[in-house]
Amino acid sequence: MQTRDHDQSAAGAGRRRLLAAGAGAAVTALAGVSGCGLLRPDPTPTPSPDPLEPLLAGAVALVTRYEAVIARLPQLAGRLAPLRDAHLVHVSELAALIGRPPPVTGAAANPATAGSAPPNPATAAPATANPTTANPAAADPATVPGAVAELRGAELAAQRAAAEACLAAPARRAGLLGTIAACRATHAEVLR
Amino acid sequence: MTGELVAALAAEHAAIYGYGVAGAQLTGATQEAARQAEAAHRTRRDALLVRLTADGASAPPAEPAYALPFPVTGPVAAARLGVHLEERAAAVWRRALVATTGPTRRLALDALVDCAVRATRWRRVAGVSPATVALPGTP
Repeated sequence: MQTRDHDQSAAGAGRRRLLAAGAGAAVTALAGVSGCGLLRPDPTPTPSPDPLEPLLAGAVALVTRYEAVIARLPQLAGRLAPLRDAHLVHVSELAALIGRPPPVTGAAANPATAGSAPPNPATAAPATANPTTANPAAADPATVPGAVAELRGAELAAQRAAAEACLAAPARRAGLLGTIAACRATHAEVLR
Repeated sequence: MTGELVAALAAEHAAIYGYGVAGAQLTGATQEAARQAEAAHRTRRDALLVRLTADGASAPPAEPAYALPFPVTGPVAAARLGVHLEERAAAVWRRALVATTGPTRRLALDALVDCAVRATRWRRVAGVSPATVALPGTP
C-alpha cells in the first residue's frame, strides 16, 4: 500500500508527540510542586494514548455492530458485507497509522457470535467514540428498516468523529482520516 | 499548498464541463442530479478561487473543452462519467488535505466527502456494485 512509508513516519511523529506531551506534563508538575510545595503523584510514567485510539476503537465497534446485524438479519448480508469490509480496512489502516498491530475484530474473532459486546476489552470503544444514535421514536432495530436506520445513525456519528480527527491531525494523518470520513458518509448514503 | 489547490481547481473546472456533457444524455431525476452536482462543483470552485486569490496565487481559468475518458452516449455512460468526475475530484481533494490546515483543510474535507457521496450515487445510477469503496479518493 502506498501509505506504508507515511505510516512509519506517522508512528514516529506520534512518538515524538507523546514525548512532547510527557515533557509538558513534567513542567506542569514542577510548577505545581513549586506552587504548593507538597507531595504530588508523579504524573510522568503513563504515556498518553495515541489520539487516534478512540477512532480505531470506533472502527472496531462498527465492524462488531455490522456483524451483529448480519447475524440477526441474514437477509441483509449481501447489502451490509461490503460496508463491514470497508470498516475492516479502516481498522487495519488506522492500526498501521498508529503503529500497532490491528486489534482482533468481531469478524475475525468469532463470526457466528460477534454481537453486542466488543470482542476485546482493550479495544472497546469508549462511549464518546461510538455514540449511540438510538432514537426512541426510531423503528425497532429487530426489523430490517430499524436495523438499517440504526446503522445509518452510527455511520453519521462515526463520520463526524473521523472529520474532527482529520481537522485536528498532523498532515501525514489527514489523508487517511479524511478518506475514512468520506467512506462513512457514503455508507450513510446507501443506508438511506 | 498552492499546487494542490490549483490541481483541485483544475478538477473542479473539468467536473463542471463534464456535467454539461453528462446532463445532455440524461433525463428526469438523473438530469436534475447532474444539474445539482454541477452547481455544487461551481460553488466549490468559487470558494477555491476566493482562497487562491486571498493567498495571492494564480488561479488558472477553465479550458474551453476537456477530453472525456470514454465516449458519452446514453444515460449509463453519462452516469459512469459522473463516477469518473467525482473520483478524480475526490483524489485531488484528498491530496489537498495533506497540504492544508485550518479552514482550508475544512474546505478540502467537505469537498472530499461530497465528491465521495456523489460518486456513490452515480455508481448506483450506473448499476455499479458495490456502490461504495473503502478508501474514497485513494487510487
